Amino acid sequence: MRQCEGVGYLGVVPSSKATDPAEMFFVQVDKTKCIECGTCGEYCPTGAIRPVGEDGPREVVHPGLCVNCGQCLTHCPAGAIYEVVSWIDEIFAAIDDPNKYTVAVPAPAIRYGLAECFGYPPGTNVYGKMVTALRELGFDKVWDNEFTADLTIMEEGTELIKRITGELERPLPQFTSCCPAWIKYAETFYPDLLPHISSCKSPIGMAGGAAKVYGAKEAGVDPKKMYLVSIMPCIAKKFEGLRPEITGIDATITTRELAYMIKAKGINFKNLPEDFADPIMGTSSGAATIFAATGGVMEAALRFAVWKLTGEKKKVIEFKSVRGLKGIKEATVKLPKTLKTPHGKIKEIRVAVASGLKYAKVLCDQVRAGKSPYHFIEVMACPGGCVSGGGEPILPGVREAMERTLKRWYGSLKKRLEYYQSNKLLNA
Amino acid sequence: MKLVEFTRRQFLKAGMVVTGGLLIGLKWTNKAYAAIKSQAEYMKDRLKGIYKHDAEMEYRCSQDNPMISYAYKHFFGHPMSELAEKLLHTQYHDRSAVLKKLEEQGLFSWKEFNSIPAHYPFE
Repeated sequence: MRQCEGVGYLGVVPSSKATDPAEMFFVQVDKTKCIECGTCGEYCPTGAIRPVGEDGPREVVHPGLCVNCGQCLTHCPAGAIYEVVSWIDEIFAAIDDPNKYTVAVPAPAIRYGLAECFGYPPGTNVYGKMVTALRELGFDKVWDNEFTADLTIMEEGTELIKRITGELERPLPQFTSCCPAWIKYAETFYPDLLPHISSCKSPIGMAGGAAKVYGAKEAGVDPKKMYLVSIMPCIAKKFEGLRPEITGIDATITTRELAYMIKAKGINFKNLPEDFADPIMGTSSGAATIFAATGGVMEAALRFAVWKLTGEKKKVIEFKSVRGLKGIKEATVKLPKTLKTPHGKIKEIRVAVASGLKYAKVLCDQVRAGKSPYHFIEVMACPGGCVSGGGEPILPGVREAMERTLKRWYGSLKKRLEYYQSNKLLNA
Repeated sequence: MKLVEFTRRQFLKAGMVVTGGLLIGLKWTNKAYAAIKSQAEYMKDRLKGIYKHDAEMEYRCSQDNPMISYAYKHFFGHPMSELAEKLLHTQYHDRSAVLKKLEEQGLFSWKEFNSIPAHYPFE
């Protein structure tokens, strides 16, 4: 099993798009390493990871229950949980293949997570170096998922306004659709809420849809030769890339796998010069970069919707109430004039943000009961948003703290026992 | 009868070992707690990095991104145009059938699912 930044990769490559990804495991537990502490179960939003019998080593019991968020993996103190699917070898081969035009599309969260794999403190933005590293790896084109995040806001914000004004006959509240673990969660446990979910593809879904048509045309590339690699802070994005609704994505890797590839090629990341992504599908705004944070999609959408609804070029408004690690965040935006809509008179837009699927459940139950006061709800499966996603580097402290304290504890216990034994001998 | 044979010294020793063990246990729990606390701090560090970068960006709103305007002008037309609907939108489907199967196998129950608390260990 290949180790990428302390996480195991079984390296299964789905043979064809015909494989139903819903029948595949994306994370699984190495039972020989499991210490049966149960932390994974406390992070799991669906109860998919649990002991096989009454107690014992944990296991993802069925792919149908697992939403592939990977929170169990990033919080396992023993490093016992591994990823099953990995395209690393196929990507290396595609880069070397002269008949393939390889395109890298890194997600917003990659530039904030990748730094930690190269010794920078958490939260460091290494955008410029990341772009150079992707070029050095041999990608023919480096685009940016942030561009399609901006595109998502244009589409999703427009959809929201059309739902509110009644131009679209779809129910309120509207849910965001960027998070693939949330989509699978809704499809499995809340299928009755699917009409509430925005019809927009996620930013990488849009990149897949646009790259081989719009991007290929603008860049003058044969779309049949294009090999699109989505680089995500997320394991569920591997599932999304395989589902039939999403087209154009050939491979998906996580932040950890990208760090592995950079290290495997012997690239000295810290000394790399800074560069920019190719502009046609690479230029982005602040609204796109905050997609990596919980509440980010909401804030970006509000920056668009408020501008659109007030009809004036407003100064950038920072919606600080949707930021931070709180499980459920709310905000209200007053409108300059009351809107008469099929949903009644609307004076203000009420929004909510769920940071983590366990909190999303509370909001979903509200909607199901018809008691939701909101117009727009953002859901991110991982607490903290994509930047703390299942594909990101393991946070400092998750494994070390446990190891350190355990080792120290065992050490002191051993000494104490030795001391006790020698005293016993002396007394005897 | 063995208890009676315990000397005062041995009894104190045993007591000390037990107390020591308890203290170590407390210290360990405390340490583990502190480690979990700092996890949230690290998560906040990551979030801070994002908002810092956002504040530094030339364009703050999606509608101000010149390449977005370009894409709509030269290709998509306008948001939710027919072409945008075709390439950028989709529909998702009910997957709940699997739950019935899992309920029969004893791997899933709605009661258990609904009792999952809205709380994460890092909080």
